[in-house]
Amino acid sequence: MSCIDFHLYARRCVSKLCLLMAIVGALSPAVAQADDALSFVIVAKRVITADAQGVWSYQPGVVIVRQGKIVAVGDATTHEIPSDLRLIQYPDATVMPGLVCAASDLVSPHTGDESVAGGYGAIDSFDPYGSYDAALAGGVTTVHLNPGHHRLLSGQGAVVKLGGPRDGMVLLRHSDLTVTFSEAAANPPRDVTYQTPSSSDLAIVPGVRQRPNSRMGMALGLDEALVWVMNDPANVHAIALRQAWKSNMPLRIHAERAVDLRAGSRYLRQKDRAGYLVGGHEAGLVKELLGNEGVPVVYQLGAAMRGMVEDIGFDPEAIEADLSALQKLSSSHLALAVSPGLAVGDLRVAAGLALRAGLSERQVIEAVTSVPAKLLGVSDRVGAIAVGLDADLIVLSGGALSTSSHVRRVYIGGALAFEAPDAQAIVVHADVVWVSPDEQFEHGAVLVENGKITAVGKTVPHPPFAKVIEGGPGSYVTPGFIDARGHLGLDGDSSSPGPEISLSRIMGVTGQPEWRVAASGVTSVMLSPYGASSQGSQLSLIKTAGVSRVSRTVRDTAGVYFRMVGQDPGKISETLSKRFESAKKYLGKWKKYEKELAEWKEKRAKGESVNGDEKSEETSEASSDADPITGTWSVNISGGPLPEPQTATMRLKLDGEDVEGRISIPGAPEDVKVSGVFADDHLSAEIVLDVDGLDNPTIEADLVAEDQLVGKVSVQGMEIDLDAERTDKSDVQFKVVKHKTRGKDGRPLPPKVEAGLEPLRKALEKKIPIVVAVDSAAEIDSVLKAVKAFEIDVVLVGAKSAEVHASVLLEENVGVIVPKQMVRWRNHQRYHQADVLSRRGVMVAFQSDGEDSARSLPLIGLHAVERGMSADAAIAAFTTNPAKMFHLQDRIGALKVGLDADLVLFSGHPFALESRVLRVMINGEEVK
Amino acid sequence: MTAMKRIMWCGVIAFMLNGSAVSASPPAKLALQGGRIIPVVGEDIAVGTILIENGKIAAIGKDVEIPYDAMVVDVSGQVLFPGMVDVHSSRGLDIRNEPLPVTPFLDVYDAFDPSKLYFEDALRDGVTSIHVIVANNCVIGGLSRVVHPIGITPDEMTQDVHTSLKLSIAPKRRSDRMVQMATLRETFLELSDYLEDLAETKYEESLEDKDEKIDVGPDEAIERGRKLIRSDDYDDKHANLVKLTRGKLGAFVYCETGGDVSRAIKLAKDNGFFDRMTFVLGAACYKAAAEIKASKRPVVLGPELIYRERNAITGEMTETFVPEVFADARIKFSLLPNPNGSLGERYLNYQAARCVRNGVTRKKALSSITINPAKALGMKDRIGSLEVGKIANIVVFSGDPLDFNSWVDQVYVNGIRAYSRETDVRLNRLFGDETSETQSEDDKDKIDEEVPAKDAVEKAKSAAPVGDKIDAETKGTDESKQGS
Repeated sequence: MSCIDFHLYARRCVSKLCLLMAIVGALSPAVAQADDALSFVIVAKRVITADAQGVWSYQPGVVIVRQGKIVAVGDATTHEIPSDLRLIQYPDATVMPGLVCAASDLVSPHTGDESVAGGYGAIDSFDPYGSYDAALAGGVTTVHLNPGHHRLLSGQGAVVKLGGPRDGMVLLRHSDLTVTFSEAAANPPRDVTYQTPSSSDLAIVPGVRQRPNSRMGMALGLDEALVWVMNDPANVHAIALRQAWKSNMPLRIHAERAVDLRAGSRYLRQKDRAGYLVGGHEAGLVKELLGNEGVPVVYQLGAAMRGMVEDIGFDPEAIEADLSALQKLSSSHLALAVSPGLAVGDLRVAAGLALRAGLSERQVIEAVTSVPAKLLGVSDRVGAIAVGLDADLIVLSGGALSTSSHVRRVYIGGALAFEAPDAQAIVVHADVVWVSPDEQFEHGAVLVENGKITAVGKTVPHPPFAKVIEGGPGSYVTPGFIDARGHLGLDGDSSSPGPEISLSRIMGVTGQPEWRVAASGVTSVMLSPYGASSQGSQLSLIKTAGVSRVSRTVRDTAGVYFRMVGQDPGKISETLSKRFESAKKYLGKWKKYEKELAEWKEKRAKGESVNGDEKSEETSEASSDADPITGTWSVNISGGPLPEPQTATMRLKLDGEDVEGRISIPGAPEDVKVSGVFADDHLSAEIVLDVDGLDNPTIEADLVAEDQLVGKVSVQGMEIDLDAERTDKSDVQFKVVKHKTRGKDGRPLPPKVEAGLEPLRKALEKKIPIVVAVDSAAEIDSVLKAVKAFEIDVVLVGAKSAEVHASVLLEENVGVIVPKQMVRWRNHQRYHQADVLSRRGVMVAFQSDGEDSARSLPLIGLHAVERGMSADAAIAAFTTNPAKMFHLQDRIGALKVGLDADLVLFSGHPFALESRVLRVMINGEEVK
Repeated sequence: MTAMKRIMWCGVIAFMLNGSAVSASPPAKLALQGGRIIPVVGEDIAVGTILIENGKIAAIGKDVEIPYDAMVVDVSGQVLFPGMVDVHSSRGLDIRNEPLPVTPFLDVYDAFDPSKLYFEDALRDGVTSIHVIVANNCVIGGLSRVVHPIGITPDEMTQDVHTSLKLSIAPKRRSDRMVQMATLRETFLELSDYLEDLAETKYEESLEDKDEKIDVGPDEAIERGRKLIRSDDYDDKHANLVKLTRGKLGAFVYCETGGDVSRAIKLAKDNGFFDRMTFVLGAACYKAAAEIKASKRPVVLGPELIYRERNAITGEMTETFVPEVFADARIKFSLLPNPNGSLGERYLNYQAARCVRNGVTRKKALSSITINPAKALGMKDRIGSLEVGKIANIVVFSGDPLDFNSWVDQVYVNGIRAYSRETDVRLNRLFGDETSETQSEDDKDKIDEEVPAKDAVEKAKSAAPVGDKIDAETKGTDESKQGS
């Protein structure tokens, strides 16, 4: 914890100081960290001291704690921070003294019958080893334990802390004599003494009647008891009461009605004793309580918070808490506490209700910290952040009396007594929330849970223990920026990988370059190879930072990249079409399979027979006639890496469109299998070598004339010319391994996966786009022609002359990733391509075309805006546009519910000169 | 003959067998030969012999010379283990607690029932010493007593009239800790008040005898009177409390939560019985392990060995295996069987095995059911281990005592064979077939002669559901009577 906090601090705020410290540390190795768990420094956004004598609050504030005691508190910007202490940083939090709850039912009332019983001590029911997390989670660190307010004198109260070092938990074993002036104490049960062991000598005595029977008997009952105890009887209750009375222990009088409150204050004055009243619902009606001379009151409120109040109807006896009374009571005499039935942990919120009565925040905070500490007699230990007091501190995620803030940590006597569970939820508040180009909120918030955005709006839910990030005035939160084409992590590898290689597989761990990019606000990169294979290379969409490859990968195959710059525009369309055509056939096989599978499933669901047609299919295929392929071929291969031409014999057999065969190369020990497809006079086959780490060589040949095949063999990216002639048309003799088309249960079997065509299959299904690097208008034209024929989505990269085709691009919904160099000259005029295209409605996106140089991407946006592009269009070009281009708008690119929690918090508008990146979050994890 | 009657007869036979074993005079010399010996105190002996003379262990070792007149029992392949000690049991009592909160004048002697199935079970389970004491639902309970589970009268069963008073810091039922502590304080306050009155009275009486008038102030009179009090002057209500405060009685003090521990220590120190105090701890008390260790008082861990606590915020359940905490803190402890837990928890050796399974060393686990409870009872020189000079309370296990497959084969109490599985009537009824399988050829012949008897057993078995039900019912009333 401390370590992370320390690093955070070091990075963000005082890196210079740290450097200095490091130098000092290096020069004098004797400087050691104070190795003491109860000593530390807290620096927080706001420190509320609740110290009536001192400064009320510091912003930012610092609290220095040694051995569990506060030794200094002050302004963080000016106060010296000792270098030997652990530094704990709470940049978003409010730190205030642990709350003191002057009334609690943590201890249940005693079960004794005595109406006046000084010997019952609430401390006897306290378990210092108990778990008080529920109270601590509400920020309450000190409570009064009440022996009950069901008897005239129920016993003695106690004041304890709910955590921290064990020997410091009990503040006062006996803090007060608990008196009750209300109907609850009237008519106590008879006091029975059992004579044990009973005998004929010891009569069974009927129970003794006890006072009070009515209000009149209350004061009288107490006086009688006092006379009784002064006579020195041997009885625990008498002895305890006598000692307490003689030591001037304060009287704590529970009273709610005006009449009882009056009687209570009168009794205190009459006996000239220190004390206070508890309950006080009708305190506003009692003149004696008001003003600075009045008796202190612990006002219990919030009764209705956990359920509805009781119906009153016309009941004249009903008590209705009158909040307006709070205003009339002197604030230095007013403590606030929870009503009976309410958990101690609700104190902060219950007390906050007093704000409704017009009390100031300061008055309310005093009423749950310093005032109750004084009333309970423990102000020398707790109740404020002041020098010499115990380090009982609570860390709130937001404002002291805000319903949306939660207690994150509690320190008692310097020890961490409570820590909120790991933030499952983070709420980011900002002055502007940029949801999408069409929707922005002012003073809105984003809720992030489990790495996803779960709410966006003017207000969002604040789940318990949510971490709150306050953007501050002027702050601006946008979706994480997307680098529409970059090479992050390729480490200069400029090869052009084949279509079967997914770049996300070569992604390493998140290193320094990745952190650098992430910290700039670029959260996603469309990872592209530097070059493209002629068959198209895969693109992968990745996050710039994350703990694992899985969490960093958004989509393995997010696009197919072709590079057509500088090629003959006439041939571009043809080249692409050929590739698309084979992919289309491949897709056709899958579609057929899917259809058959669906039919089979339907049949099976209906209970029809799904077996049996396996055999008939085989026999029909066996009766094929003489064909253009079947027979023995003499093959010449030459060129490429071969030093001289070689010959081989190939025996093939055509079965429908499938070709199966053997190729025997002189010198090779055995025949090698060949399998492929023959269609439209084109043979596309694979030589099955099955060598680990090597792709099988492929044959692509055309039947140029009868009995003559001409084409190429590709081996590991190298191409060898092939020329074959059929020498024998008779059926060849080898074992034909037929592809089974049906499984045992009649289930259709899937076609063979062709890794090289898989990416294009997805493109044909419109799941991903193809991305084509082009330049000239003619090139663009040619590409558009090809993709239109196959109905493939396309994104253009570079496209220096895109504006020529702007209307077509708009019509076809084609996005353009503008080149790095965006300012060009045309007709001796400077113009900005992104601006021009976006004005004409074309979707544009920005690319880094680099590795960690992507960190400067946001500046490109600033420049574009300076050149006339609209700010929203520029943000869109970083967020929604690339997400749309790559069909990833359900994952990234906007601050919408259900999307990945990638967001950037700026101190101002993202493209304002003075604006800085404050926070970056990727998948809900803050980039630090 | 109804099934029920038959079961009753079985019980009577079992009872008579046990009884006759006691009444028969013990063989003067007995040698248990050829077994593995786990003495608990000292090293294990792979194959050894224990020689018992007049109910005491006379020799133990690998090569013990067996006197010519000793009766030799071959226990080869079996394990000799000290008779286990149940250090806190109220199951032998007819009710576990009185409704009255403060009853120091009571004695379990008046309430325990030798014919209880519990004692028979204890013997069967290898427990040879039972500290019968009132349960935890009290403020101050009565006197306790250590018994062995053989004999037909309380006197025959009594092993030690030593004994302790029972106190509880945790509240008696329908009470609370404030009242509990006030009652405890009140009791000792009343005691000192009573003693002052008694002293004054004694002094006045002594003057009356001499026909003198009171010549000194009340304080001085009390001082002088104290010296005149004799032990039979105390009344029943106070006699045991006086003994307690003067360290002449032990105190078993029950604590339920960690907070109770410091209250127990303070109460004991204030009233002079701290040196004789033994903690009886609920599972939650492990949190106060540091305080318990500092007090250096013996510890008895309550029957529940696992403490479960749910986090109020996350709702996560954490489980703590309590003996492990104590073992890690190097506190010696005794274990209790858990009659309300699973079947296995009824056995002391199973409880010890659970400790080993959870990381407590074997030595500590074995000590916790033998020598540690013996120490807590102040009887470590007589029971709790197999050492020369100790009472010959020996359990013969079929295998390792911590092995779930082991059973108690024989039990020797005071050197007398008090239990043998072979002649266990109740077990024979339950497992009739199994025992007959293991019997020798000769025995088989015998059984053949007793066909009617075997038939009866068969019939009883066919009526087993009914029998089980009755068994369960009697047990049930047993438990409910005892309360908790």
